[in-house]
Amino acid sequence: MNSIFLLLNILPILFLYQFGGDLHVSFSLTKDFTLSLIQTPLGTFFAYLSLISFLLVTVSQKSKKLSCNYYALQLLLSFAMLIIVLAGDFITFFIGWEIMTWSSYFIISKSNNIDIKSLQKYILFSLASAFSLIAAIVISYSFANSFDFATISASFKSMPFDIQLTLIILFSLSFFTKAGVIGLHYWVVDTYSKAPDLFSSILSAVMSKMGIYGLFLIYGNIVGYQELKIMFGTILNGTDFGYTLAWIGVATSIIATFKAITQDEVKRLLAYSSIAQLGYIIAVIGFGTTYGVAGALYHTLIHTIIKLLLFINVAAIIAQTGKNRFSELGGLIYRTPVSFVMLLIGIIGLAGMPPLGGFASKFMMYNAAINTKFALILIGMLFSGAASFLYCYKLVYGIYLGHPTSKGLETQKEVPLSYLIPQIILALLLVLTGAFPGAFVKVINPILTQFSLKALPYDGVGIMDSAVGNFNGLFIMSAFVAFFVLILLLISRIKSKAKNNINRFDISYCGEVPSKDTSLHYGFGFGTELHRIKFVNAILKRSTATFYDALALQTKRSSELLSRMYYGNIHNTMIIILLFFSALFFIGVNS
Amino acid sequence: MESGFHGSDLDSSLKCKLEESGMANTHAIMEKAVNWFRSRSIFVVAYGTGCGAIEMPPTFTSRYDAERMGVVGVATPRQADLIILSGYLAYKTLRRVIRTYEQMQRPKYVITLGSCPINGGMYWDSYNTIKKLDDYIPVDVYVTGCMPRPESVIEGFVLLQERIKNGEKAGWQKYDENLKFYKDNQKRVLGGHIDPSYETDWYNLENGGVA
Amino acid sequence: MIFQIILLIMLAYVVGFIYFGLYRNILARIQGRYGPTIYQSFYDSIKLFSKKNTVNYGWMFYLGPIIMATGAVLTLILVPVFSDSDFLRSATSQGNLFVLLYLMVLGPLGNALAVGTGGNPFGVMGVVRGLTRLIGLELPFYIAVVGLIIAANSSDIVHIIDMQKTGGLNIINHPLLFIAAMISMVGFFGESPFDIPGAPQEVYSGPRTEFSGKFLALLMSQGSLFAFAKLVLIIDLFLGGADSLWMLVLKTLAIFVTIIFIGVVYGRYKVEQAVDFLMKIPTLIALLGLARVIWFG
Ligand code: SF4
Repeated sequence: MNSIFLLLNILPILFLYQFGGDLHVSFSLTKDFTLSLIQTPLGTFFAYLSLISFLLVTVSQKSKKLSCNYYALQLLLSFAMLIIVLAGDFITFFIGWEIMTWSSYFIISKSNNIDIKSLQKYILFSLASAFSLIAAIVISYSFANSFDFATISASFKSMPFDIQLTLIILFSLSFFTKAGVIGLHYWVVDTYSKAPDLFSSILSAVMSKMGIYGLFLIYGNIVGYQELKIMFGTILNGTDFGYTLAWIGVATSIIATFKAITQDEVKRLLAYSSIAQLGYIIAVIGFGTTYGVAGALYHTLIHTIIKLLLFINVAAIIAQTGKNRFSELGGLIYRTPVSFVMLLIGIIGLAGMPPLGGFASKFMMYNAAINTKFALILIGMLFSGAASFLYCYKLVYGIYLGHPTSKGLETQKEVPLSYLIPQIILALLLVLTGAFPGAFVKVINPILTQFSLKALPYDGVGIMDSAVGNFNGLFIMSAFVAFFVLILLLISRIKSKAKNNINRFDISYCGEVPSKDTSLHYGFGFGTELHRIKFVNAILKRSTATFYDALALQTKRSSELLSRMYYGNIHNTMIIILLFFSALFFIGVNS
Repeated sequence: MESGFHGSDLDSSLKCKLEESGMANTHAIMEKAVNWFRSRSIFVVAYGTGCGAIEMPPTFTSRYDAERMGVVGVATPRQADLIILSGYLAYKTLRRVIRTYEQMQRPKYVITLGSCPINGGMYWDSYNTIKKLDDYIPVDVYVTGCMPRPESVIEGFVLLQERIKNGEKAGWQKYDENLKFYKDNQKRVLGGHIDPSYETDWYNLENGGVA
Repeated sequence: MIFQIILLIMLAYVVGFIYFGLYRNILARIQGRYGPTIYQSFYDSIKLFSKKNTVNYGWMFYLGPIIMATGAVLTLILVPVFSDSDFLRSATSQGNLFVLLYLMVLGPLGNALAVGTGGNPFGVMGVVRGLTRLIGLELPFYIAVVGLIIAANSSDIVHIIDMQKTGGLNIINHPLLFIAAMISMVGFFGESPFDIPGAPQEVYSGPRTEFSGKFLALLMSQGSLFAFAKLVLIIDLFLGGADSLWMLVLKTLAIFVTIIFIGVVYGRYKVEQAVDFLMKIPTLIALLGLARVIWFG
């Protein structure tokens, strides 16, 4: 089963590779109503991103006994995303968007630990996203008389300002919901944590990126970054619009980072971290400068790699141990060493540390902020980066380091190879992007041209160059490796004999001897002390849940009020409905 | 089976190699230099047993300033070279002391303060204190007095430094060589309630005692 | 270049150890003691390297201090040491200020992995304290650095040094940023009131609890390299770098002594107090400095 669908996943990649470049198909349903697929550099980038992600996840699904339906739904999802990124008009786009919503909904509902509430949350927010999308599409159709991207883009300039603003807000809301901007992220955490373990990687790595693609489509293609500048005016060296969006992104990233630290469930932590990382992308996506767009694209790539890696890793551990909380895991490092190394590479990337690819993308985004002189935005991003070290460490400590906290962990075996292969590929990608940060410039430059922005300078694969600073990834990587090996050799030559201490209870513990019952796995609970810091506590104790729960309650009450109309007698109800509509009719006729 | 992991084994093998290549002289000089450095830098874990614990703060702070001789306090036994036991030891304390001592890394030394660790002192007929500490862990320097003044504690440090500098055989080497003797004694007073020792399996000392 | 790197590491090693000895002496004098010899840290390090055995909890534990040392050495070679000569310029031009900001955390994070592997809860407690403190500690420092970057419109350190040759020293142009950065530096040097992670009497000795022998010696050596690198970074950013060895020693010593003098008179904060404090006063000072940079150049 797995291998068949593996093949089916490879096919579109081959197809895109073979016939891609200048794909342009359209077929008309009625006279002025055509569906079209147009391949743009931006779409191609996202298409490859999602297709390869699906392929890797399918590889790791080998050891899971999944049904044919499941694979078919997943394939449908992949197909829907392909439609979204290749769509040339809004109807095609919307069809893709809907298929994506529904197919993912069914996959999520197949999970073992899903509850009805999370499912409802997911579908309600997806519907809200779709409604605001369709509203925006209809409004733009009424002005442009077409669903075609190019036509709408052309007529956008002639629309009145309030319509332009409404359109931008409606589109943004729709895509913000998908990406999980803070305030609209209510569904994200529950869905990511309760979806099937491997599917979470798709949700976080690929599906959230469709929101990012949508934002690029609107800001870059439909409205156009130049138009945005004219519409909203400028502040410092950037646009007002970019500045507002940047604050939304930075707030998202800071709040989600602190929330992530306090989570006990592994996948909830990753979900919050995913929100935080997308916050970075949203922060720079509106800048409308070369570095802004390049940074957003670069971070899209890096975040996809990292989140696939981390979610697959965690899924493997959960499948192997059956535990999904930090307080139940721990001490797996010498049981599953390969997994440990993979997770380690993942979190070094996530924290944005220099030798790996995570740094290159962050550097690009920081450059964008310097370029526009958005100092506070830059500080916000750096600050959330510093706080993210905490959850990165919690992730690796809670699972692999410290002491095992439940039975069976001490005899754990390494996870199956099917989980490890995609992880190794992704980790290699992370290392390669770290050593050759300049290589990706060639992918970004056509997209920049598409948005009619200046291309990035290219100084060789090892170097990431920009007007406000550059660094040589290859040099840093090789210097790091060289010094590491050198110091390792020196230290291992020193005759002070390192005795391998196999027993984990032999620690200095104030002269006492800890036993199996002593709780030694300290770090899984960290984040609790953050509550004592006033500023952080102010973030942690607030939650959008209160707002949405109140909203749900009010909706429930008003619908109860409505349902009182049905007091058993169908005739009276019908009469009331009839009266209501006739009243409406009269009002309509009179005005 | 190789017994324990005596630093001296390593040294002697190295010595053999060096002697073969006619470099024994260099080795001796190196050894001397290293011993000098060891004597100039002593990290202390001050284990406050008995009354003498009160003499430690003045020894290490402004009044007597042991740091000027390179003697500094550290928090964990892993980093320490010297453990100071400052008085009588109850059996309960002894267990922790042994554990702390075994967690220290070689070379390691023991200094005791007062007369109690020598022969029991005024606790000579107590039911729950040990009489002669040297039976349980090897003591390098006894600083006598009930209790000793910081000056005499410092004199003890100087004596220890002299010995380290001269490369004299220290307590830890005796401990490694006569492990069975010490462990038997420890077993006798601690009875069945013995902490596991992760360095040596001293229930099976006959088989070499490797854990 | 290799020769220059070796020279630099040796210089940093010696200077770092002597500074540390000086630190212990100054501390002693302030407390009314004589203090050890100035080479005491050097003796300690040799003694630790020549311990006969060292406890090891597996390969990650072994590699942790090595990662930390690698981070320190890499930081050292990416900071421009002399402002005018092209000593090691070929290496320093490969990085920038952001690389350094992250490299400064890479080492401790690598070591934190080793601490976690050691399995001592006190060690992890120290790590958690350190990482929590970092939230507060980085904020004023980041603001100061970002202020300088915006003022110079470049994240290249050499460029920032060159700016100061013509436009006057940053310590005079941006005194508020300097004050904020120095408060953070007190924490980066592990001085009171921010010496929370390795607080003896509270958490054994924090992250270093389980390290002994050669690992501890390596940690100490990299500490002195790293301290030197941090001092050079500060004088590059605010004091216009150093054009000769004497200037280098003079300027770094001035900064170092200032940090010690701040450190010795304070008691220790709790971690939340430290973060609260750092998020208020130093951050405010830094933000004022930043506002000045943005609106008045
Ligand atoms: S020797 Fe004297 S001061 Fe020391 S423990 Fe014994 S009784 Fe107390």
